[in-house]
Amino acid sequence: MPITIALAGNPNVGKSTIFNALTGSRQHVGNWPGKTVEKKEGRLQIGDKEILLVDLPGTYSLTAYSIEEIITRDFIINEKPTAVIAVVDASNLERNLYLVAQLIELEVPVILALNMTDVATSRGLRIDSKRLSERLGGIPVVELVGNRSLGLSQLTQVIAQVVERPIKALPQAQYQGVLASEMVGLENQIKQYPALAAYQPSWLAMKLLEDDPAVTELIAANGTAELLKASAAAQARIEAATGEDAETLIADQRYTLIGSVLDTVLERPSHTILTTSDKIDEIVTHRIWGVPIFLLLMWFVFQFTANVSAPFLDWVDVFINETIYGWVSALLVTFGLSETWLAALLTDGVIAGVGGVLVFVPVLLFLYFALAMLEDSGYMARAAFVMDRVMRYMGLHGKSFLPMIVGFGCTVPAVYATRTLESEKDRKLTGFLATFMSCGARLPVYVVFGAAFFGATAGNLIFAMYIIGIAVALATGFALKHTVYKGEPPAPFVMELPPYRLPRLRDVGRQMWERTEGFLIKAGTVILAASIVLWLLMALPGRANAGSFNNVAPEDSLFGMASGAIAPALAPAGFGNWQATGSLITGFVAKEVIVGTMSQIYVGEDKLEAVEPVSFAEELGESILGFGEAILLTVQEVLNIAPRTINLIPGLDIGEFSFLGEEAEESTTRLQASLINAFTQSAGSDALGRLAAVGFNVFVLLYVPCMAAVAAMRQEFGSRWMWAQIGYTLALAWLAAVMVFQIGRLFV
Amino acid sequence: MQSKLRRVLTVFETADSPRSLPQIARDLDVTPEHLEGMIQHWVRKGKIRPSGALTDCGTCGQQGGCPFVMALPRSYELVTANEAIPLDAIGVTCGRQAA
Repeated sequence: MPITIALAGNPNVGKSTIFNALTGSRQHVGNWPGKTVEKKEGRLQIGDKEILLVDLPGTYSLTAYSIEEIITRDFIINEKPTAVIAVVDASNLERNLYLVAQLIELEVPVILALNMTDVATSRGLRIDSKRLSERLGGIPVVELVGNRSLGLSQLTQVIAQVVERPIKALPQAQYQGVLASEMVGLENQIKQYPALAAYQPSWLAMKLLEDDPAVTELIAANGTAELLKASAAAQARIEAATGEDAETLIADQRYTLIGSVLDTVLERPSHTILTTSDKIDEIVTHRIWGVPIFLLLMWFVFQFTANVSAPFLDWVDVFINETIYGWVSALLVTFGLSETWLAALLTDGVIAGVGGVLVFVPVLLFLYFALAMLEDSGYMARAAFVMDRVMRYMGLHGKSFLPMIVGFGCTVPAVYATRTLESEKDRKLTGFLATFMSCGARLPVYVVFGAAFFGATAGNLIFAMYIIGIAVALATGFALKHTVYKGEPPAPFVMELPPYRLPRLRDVGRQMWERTEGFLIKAGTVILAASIVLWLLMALPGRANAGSFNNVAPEDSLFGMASGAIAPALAPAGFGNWQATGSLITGFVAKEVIVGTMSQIYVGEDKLEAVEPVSFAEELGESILGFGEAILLTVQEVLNIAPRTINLIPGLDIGEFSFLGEEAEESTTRLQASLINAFTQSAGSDALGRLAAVGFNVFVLLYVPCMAAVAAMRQEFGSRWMWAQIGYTLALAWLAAVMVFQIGRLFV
Repeated sequence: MQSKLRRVLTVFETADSPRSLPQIARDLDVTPEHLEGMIQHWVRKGKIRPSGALTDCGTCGQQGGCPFVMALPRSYELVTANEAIPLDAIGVTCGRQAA
């Protein structure tokens, strides 16, 4: 009869390492019959005996809830291996012994391979393996460090001994009271059925009481269905006597056994060792400091994003709006198309519109870099934890924070993500509030206004917009939860907080690219289409005698006149001109289109002056030079983060790095210059123009989300809710922008 | 005296603010991994459910799901009378391109 030894254990306990070390190259890899789970077999020669070693799938228990558990259990029951080597992680005995307890219950000879003993020692754990063997009914225990091949020869010796003389341990769990008596009763009934003779009666009885689906099926298939009735009656009696179901009682007996075994064999450090992660968590998830720390980090992220990306933003702006614009213009001249509508469409429509949005790719790249660093380090999980607490204080559902965090990326998945909430009221409320989270598409608007009106402190404006979004969402939620949607908050979350780690650049890079890719796809589809439609509306005269197609003043175009008709409504907010109004209208398509529209209106109006013709090579050279300069300035901005942060402390003034002199540091794009002029004119002065610009950003933050998000809301919550959202957000945005301008002007 | 398993469920039933697994593990004097095993018992019993399965949101054709959905660690919550609809069971998409 062939000798078969199975290798079982929890996932990630070093089982495969031990399997490979024992079998070497004598392995066969396939799949378990009818399953997609990998099956590994190998040969082990001990003396004159050849042993077949089977590596079972990693599993935490022997219930029948996963394919791995079923494979492991079926193999042990049906194939009846000579012994099972239970590989356990010595540094995590509590969890691992649960499987061992179940293996012993199967009454199969077990060898306990105590792996990773070096890790256990480094954590201050001391295990008495001899005592452990005794407490587990005398099963052999071998200490190992599998990845350094320590203890393998002892394991081989024990295997040889067990092959010669299998040692079966008796089930150790102390089943007591009604559970024990019912188990014995069922066991006796099982013994009366020859069809079940191949199975351990005690194990079958236990599994029946646990309502194990595979065993129930087995019993029914063997024509012994009356056992199921007996089992159900026994379960009812157990529950009536103890108030607990049989499965929970049995599991608890195993945990009690494990606890009692560990009390006698495991010596822990005299005090609870807090890991570095625990120590950091005590500060960053602190009830009081958690939120300020989160806000401080977010402030830092936006400062970093705005300042470090600025040199690349300028370079991309020049490259798209001057270099590419110049190349396209030259090509159009070459083909004699420079004065046609096609030329206007390409330069004033596509390049100004799409190019105006693409300029912000560096900003998004740097933002996504900073967020991915926080995410990959493990901090974002803590942020979610901290924000969850804030939301509960406001009376919101603890789970609402998840869709809202998604809303920082994109409102559409945030609306769908509300499906994880149980009640319809909570779903609607959270979907409603998620739209106030500043999505990535709004960021280009903040960046262009921040750079134009606030220069080096643009990050403050961006940060303020994100905070206002959160504050408005919380205030709205608080108001609704205490009026319309009164109700008890449900039980809060319990969240796993994995240890902090150094971010992996590969993962960070992947996340940066995947998110930026989404933006680029949008630029090439939605924004391109919107730019073309907008160009068409700006090329069509809005009234008779205003001009002809592609030969009309922008304000007299169909788009200009329609926007101009609504513009007076925004005058109290300081930006009641047709350009700003028109941009807000097109922003309904996608929020990035606001910038594209402004670029088409302002940059399109402000035609390029004739420049000295330069060769392609010269222009390319200048672009490369400009790119190098942008890299240098980016390094400069990174180095300046520390002194700028320190200089925020009153009275301190540390010098900052300046690689290219003062002139190169402050540059304004054509769009930014046009915006400063337009807002200063509409508001009345420089200071008021700045106020109006802040009000405009607040309006962009709070008003109707993009059409894709609105469609998602209609699909999820219905038309009435969608219209309520549109009405509320428009009114709130208008009111907030007017308040910013009107209250602000009292102090200017 | 409550059993170990029952104590775990009680933590979920009586918590009045969000808790972390390491915190609870320290309070119950078990390792976080051991606690995870006990939580899995209640998950199987339908008393607790894993939540925050938002990484499944947005099967919009991009590898790894919706890029805007932050990968958050596992979290659990008590199952209430109103059964939640698992996101993956519905096959949610982010609206850009249905799978």
